[in-house]
Amino acid sequence: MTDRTDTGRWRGVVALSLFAGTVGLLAQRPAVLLLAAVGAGYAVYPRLVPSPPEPEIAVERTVTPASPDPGERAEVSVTVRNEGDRWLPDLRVVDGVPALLPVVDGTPRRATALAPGGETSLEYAVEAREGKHRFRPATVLSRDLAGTAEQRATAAEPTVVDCGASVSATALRNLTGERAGELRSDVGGSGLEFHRAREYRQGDPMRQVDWRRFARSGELGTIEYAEERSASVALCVDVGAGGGDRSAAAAVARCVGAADRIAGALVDANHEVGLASHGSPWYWLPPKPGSAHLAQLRRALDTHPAFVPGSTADGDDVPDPADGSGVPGAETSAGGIQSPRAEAGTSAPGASSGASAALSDGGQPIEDESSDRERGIGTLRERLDSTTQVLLLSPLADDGVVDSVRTLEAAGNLVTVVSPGPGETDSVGTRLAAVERDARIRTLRRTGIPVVDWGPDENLENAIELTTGRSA
Amino acid sequence: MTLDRTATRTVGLGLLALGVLALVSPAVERLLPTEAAVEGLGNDYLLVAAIGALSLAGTAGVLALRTATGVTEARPPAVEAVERGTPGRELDAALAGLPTVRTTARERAVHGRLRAAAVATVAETARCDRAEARRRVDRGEWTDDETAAAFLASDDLEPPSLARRALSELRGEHWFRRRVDATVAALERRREVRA
Repeated sequence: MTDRTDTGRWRGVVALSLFAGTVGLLAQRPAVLLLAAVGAGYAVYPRLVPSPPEPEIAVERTVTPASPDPGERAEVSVTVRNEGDRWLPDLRVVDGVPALLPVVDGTPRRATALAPGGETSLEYAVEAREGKHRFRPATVLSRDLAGTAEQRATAAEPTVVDCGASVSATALRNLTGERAGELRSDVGGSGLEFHRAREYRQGDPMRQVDWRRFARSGELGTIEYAEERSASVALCVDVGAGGGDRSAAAAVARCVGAADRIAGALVDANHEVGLASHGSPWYWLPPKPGSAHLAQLRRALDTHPAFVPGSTADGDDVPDPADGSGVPGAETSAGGIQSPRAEAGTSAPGASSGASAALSDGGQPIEDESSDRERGIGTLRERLDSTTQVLLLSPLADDGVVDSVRTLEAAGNLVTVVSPGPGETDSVGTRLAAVERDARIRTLRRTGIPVVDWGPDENLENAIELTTGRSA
Repeated sequence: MTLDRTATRTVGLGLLALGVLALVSPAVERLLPTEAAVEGLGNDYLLVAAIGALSLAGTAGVLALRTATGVTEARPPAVEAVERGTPGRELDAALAGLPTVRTTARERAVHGRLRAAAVATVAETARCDRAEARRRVDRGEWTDDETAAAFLASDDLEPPSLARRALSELRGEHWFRRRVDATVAALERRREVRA
């Protein structure tokens, strides 16, 4: 998709030519009159050069390392190739650096000419920050030789920098261990964690016999371990109100990154994991076990517009998924987007593709964001099985999130909140937001909902363990 | 626009062709009423000056158009600028460029938000219900800071007198921003004590 624009760069030359001609005529100076011919030549020149070709550009991007640590430098190498059959005499490329990552070396810009099949590279470095950071499409400007007209296009190459430490399943079990119905069942059996000691019964497995007790007192006893059952967890990422809302973009990036790592830990522990977005656009992937499902979930986190804060209805700043996953119409009955405004119980497969379908009303801007979020949480509640736990990842930037948690808890779904703290409190606005967030955390904790207060530059697993210690 | 340009180009090329033909062909030259025009005007310079005046008008027109439209080249995005996506920046933006005389809806909204935060903070730190917390905020008993206490003492925003506002402006600080700053600091202190 390109836009052609006439730049008007040579419009002044005509005026100069006319002026020279006028002076030549009125002053009766043939030499000056001849100067007008030079101007006329310049005025004709842009008409003679061919119009700028529509750029057919392929962009390849590599990031090294792909998953850097926070603060680490990541080298970005971008190759731009002219896939058309015409010269691009004046090509300007600006790579779509993630909005939250600073460029610390080199430049993400290049101006060059490219022959058909020719390619050029640009290299620069960014400083990694915690979370998932999606590259925006590269901006491509192609002008003709005279600079009279210009074609503007974007070239998407979905690349994600995933920055942060992994989380162990043990930490998650500890987090929810204080509440009934969590990953660890209260049924004694053949798990790993100590549940209770009891008298030996005939038929008990030899490996569960308490040999120390036998050596000490000569009595046979049996140790029961907490039996671990497969749990169903829906990861719900608070992506803000949509409609260009990027007020908590840094926190949302951390939430998306944390969702990826938590999903991996849960699947490794054989639990069912689902994914939802809280906000606009709305996304829902039902909980399932297995690595194939995890791959689908991660693809959604990496490519779906729902997980970019402030993504717009037209999804301009979001590349489409390479394989069409997570897009309505591309999804099977296994999941995908279902608009909260759709008829109850109906899903959206078969809808038009692209980010716009992720929005209610087929991509119309949402007029009432709060009610849309309420509708979204209502729809999520309908989709959730009563035994499914919800792990809400949210910056807790508004009171609506607290209401959503209460709605889910009232429906019988246990909710745990992981909240990335504000990175900066250097202004009166950010300080007030921090005060309000603190109040929301305390409100949730008072009602018995575990909240992981995940500070900036803090390891997520450490934050979870700190919360576990507080509630223990 | 394209039609105008095509018409102008056609007329211009037609006149150019006529001029060249008049130079090389006496028959074509005789078709042009040059001598009649010179006689009508009085002398040949005035005829050339008339063409010059037309050219000058054209120059002025092109210059005016160039000034009005300028060069419309795409501005590449500033991708190196790092976004500061932290909650609260929207409040900072709202506090920037407030009018001195009028009290706007923006200010009233910020005042309401601060009052709600104060009620929530007092309810939590004093372990009382929200109605009691609201009463304490109304009475200004929640903080030692007189500015913050007075600022939130009412549901409605009560701006100071025009003279006080002007004085505040002379000191280089907007009255509303100063009060918001004092109130947020008081809220932070109150929460720290509780922690």
